[in-house]
Amino acid sequence: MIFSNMVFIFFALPLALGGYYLLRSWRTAQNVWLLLISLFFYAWGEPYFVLLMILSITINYILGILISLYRQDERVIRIVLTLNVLFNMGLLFIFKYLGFTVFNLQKIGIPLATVNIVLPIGISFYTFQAMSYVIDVYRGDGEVQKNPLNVGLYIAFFPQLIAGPIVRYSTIAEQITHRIENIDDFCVGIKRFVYGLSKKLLLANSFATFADYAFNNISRSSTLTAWIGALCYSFQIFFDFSGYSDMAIGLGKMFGFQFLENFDYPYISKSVSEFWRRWHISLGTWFRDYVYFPLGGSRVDKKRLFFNLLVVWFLTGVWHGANWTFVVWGLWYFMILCFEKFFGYPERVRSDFGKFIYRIFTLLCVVIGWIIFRAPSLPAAVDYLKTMAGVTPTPLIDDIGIFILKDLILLLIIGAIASTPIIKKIGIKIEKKAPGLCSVISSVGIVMLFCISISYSVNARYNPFIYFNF
Amino acid sequence: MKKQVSTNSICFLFVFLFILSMGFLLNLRNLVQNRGTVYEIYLEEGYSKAYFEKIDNLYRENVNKKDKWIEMYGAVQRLLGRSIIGNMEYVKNENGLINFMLNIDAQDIVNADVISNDLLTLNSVCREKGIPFFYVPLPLRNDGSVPSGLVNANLYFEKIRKNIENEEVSIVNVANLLKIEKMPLEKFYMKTDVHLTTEAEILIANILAKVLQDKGVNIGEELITGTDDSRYNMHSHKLLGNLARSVGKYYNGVDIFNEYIPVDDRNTMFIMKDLVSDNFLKDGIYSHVVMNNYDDLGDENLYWVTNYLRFGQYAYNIENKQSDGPNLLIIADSCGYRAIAFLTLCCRNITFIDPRFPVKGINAIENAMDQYNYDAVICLHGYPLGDSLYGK
Repeated sequence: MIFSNMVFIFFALPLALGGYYLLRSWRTAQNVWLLLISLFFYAWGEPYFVLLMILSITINYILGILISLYRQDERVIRIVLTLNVLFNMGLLFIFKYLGFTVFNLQKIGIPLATVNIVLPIGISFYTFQAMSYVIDVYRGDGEVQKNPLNVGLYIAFFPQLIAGPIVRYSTIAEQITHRIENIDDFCVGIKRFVYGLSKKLLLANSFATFADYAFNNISRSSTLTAWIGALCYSFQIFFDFSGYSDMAIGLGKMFGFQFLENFDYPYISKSVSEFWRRWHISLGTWFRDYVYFPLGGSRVDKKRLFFNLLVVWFLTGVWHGANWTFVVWGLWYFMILCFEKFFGYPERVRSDFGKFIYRIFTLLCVVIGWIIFRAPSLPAAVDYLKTMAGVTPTPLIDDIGIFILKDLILLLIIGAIASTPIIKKIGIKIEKKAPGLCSVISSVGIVMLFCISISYSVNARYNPFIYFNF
Repeated sequence: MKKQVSTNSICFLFVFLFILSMGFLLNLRNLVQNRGTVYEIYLEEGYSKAYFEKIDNLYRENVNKKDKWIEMYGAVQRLLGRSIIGNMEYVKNENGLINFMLNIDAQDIVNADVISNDLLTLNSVCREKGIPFFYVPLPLRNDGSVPSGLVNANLYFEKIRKNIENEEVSIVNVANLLKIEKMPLEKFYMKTDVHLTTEAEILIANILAKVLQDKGVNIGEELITGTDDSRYNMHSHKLLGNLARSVGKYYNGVDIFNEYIPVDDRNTMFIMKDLVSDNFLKDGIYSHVVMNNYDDLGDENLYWVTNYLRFGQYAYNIENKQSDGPNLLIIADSCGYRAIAFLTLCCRNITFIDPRFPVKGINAIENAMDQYNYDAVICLHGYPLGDSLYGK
C-alpha cells in the first residue's frame, strides 16, 4: 500500500488510528493491532512476500533470544551473530542480487541458468532493521524482546516498513512497550504527515513527469532540456524520499513513536561530506555504526581509511540496487569524499566567493550523481551527461526546452524554497513576534495542503515511491 | 499561552479527524456499493498484486465528490500557471485551446502513408467514375505556441498533405478559408474538447456546399445559413470536454455547446440504414434519427458532441425523403459529425463511413461505391483515421 493512495488515506489510516485509540488502555493489544495493520499494509502490495517477512521476523527473534540466553558465552553469541548476518544478507542476496550476479557471470562465459526473482518491496529496509535488532541486542544497546510480536512490530511497523527511515532497534526498543501518546504530538504527527504527502504528490510527482520525459528522450533532447530533466530528477528524488520519511515520522508520532530525522535540507550543504550527513541519515548512520566503525573508522592510517571508505561506498551503492549504475554511483561518492578527506576540502577554501563556488561544485557533484543513479544503464548515463555538457549533435537550446522551462518555472522556485529551511526560519520569526499566530497559520495551511494533496491523489495514477525499489 | 496552543491543536485535530472520518465513511459506502466489481476483479486476478492495484484504482475512480476534487486540482494548476497537465497528456496553447500531447506515435506516422495511398486510390476510382472527390483536412489545433515536438499531430497531417498534394487531389484548405471568414482557431475548436464548435461545424457544412456547387453539385437553397432564428431553435449547454475531464471547470473554463434544431423538423422524414448488414436502423424526424433525441434528455451524463449520428458504427446511410439534393459519400471522424448532420437536411442521401471503427473483412467504401451512384465523395479529416480508410 502507498501512503499517497486514497485507500491508505481514507481507509487504512482511519482504521489503524481508530483501532489503536479504542485499545488505548491496553498496550499489548495496541501493539498486536499495529502489527496486524502492518502485515495487512504490506500484504496489500506484496500478497505473498509477506510470508518472507514473517520468516525474517521469526528467525531474527530466535537469534535475539539465543544471544540473550548465551550472553555469557562469547563464542556462541559470535556464532549467532554470524548466523544473523548470513541469514539476512543471504535473504537480500537471493532476492536482490542473485539475478544480477548470474547475469554478469553469464556475460563472462560461465554457463548458468537465468534467474528471474521478483524483488520484494522494501526488503533492503526491513532486512537492515532486522539485522539492527540482533546486533543491538548483542551490543547491549537494547533489551531482547521476549514477545515475538514486539519483534514483529519493530521490523514490520508500517510507517517505516518499505522505504525507511531505517529505524535502529536501540532508538525505539524502549518505545515498543513504553511510549506516550498526546494530543500535541498527534497534531505534530498529522502536520508532518500532510507535509510529506504534499511533498510527494504536489512536488515529486510533478517533477517526475519532466524528469521521465528528459531521460526517455535524451537522444533528441537539447542541452537545456537535459539540464531541466536533471534538476527535476534532483528535486523529484528529494521530495519523494524525504516526503516518505516525513510521512513515516508523522505517522510514528500519531502512534506515540519518535523516529529520528532522515533528512536535514541536504541541498544547502557546503560540501559533499556534509551532503551525506544530511541525506538519508538513517542509512548513513547504519553503515557508519555497523560497517565503518567496526572496520576502524577514520582513526587509521591513510591506506586503511581509503579501504574503509571504499567498502562503505561500494556497499552504499549496491544497497540501492542490483545494477552497475548504483555501483558506479557509490564509487562516484567514494572518489569525491576521498578528495575532500585527503585534500582537506572545503576547509581549505577561505574566501566567501570560494565557498560559494564550492557549494555550486557540491550541487553539481550531487546532480551528476543523480544522473548516474537514474539512468537505466551506464552508457545511457554517459549519453545524458554528454548532452548536458553540450557535446552531442543536439542543440544547446530548443523550443521544447524553453516551453518546459516556462511551464515549470514557478514549480522550480517552490521546489528550491522547499529544499531550504527558509519557511521554517520565517515561521520561527513569526512565532517570536506573534506567539500562537504561526500555529494557527500552519494549521490552516496544513488543512489546505491536505485537501490539495487529496485532489492530486484523485487525479494520480499508480505512482509508487522511488525508494520502494530498494 | 499553553492553553491557546492546545485549543488550536484541538480545533486542528477536530477538523482533520472530521475530514478523515467522513472520507472513511463515504468512501467505504462507495466500496460496499461496488462490491460486485470487487468480486469480479477477484475472480479475474485472484489473490495477487494486480488485484490490489485494481482495487486501488476502483477506490480512486469512485472516490466521493470526485468531480469537486478534480476541480480543485485544476484550480491549483491554473494558479501555478501550468500549461502542461496530467502526466504530459495535455497542453494548453496560448489561445487557450487544450491539445493532446505527443498523441501521434510512430505507428500513426506510418499509418499516414497508408492513409495517403488510400486517398490516392479513392481519388483515381472517383476520377474513373467521373465523381468529384474532395479531401478536407481540418486546421491544426496547435497555433504554434506549443513546440511541434510536444504536440506532433502536424507531422501526421503534413505527411499526408505532402504525399497527395502533387497528385491532382482536390484539397480544401480549411485553414485558409478560416482566415477569409475571420474565424480564429479558438472559435473553430472547443477549448476543452477535441471537437469543433457548432458554429465551426456549420461553417464546414457551408464550405462543403460551396465547393460542391463549384463542381456543379447543386446542394439547393435550403442549406444552413448559420444562426437563422426563423429556421432553427438554438439551445445552449455548458460542456466540459474530453481534454479537460482531468482538470475540471476552473482550469480553462467550460465550452458552450449550441444545438440547432430545425424549426420545421416535423416535416422531414429520415431513414437510417446500416451499410454493413443492410439492416434498417431507425426512421423519423431529424431530431430523432440524426440527433438521437438528444435535446429531450437532461444535461446529466450527456456528452454533447459525439452523440450525433451513430458514434462507434462503421458505415451507414441517412436518407432524407423530402430532399432532392445530392447523394454523397462522406468519410470522416467525429470532428465532422455535426457538419454531416446539417448536410443531411439538404441531401437526399448521405453514406457515412467512420474508418476508425472498421468491421473485419468489410470494405465499406468499395461496397458503397459499387452500390450507389454518388454525386461527390468527401473525406473530412480532423483526427487520425486508423490503420486504413478501407478497413482491415
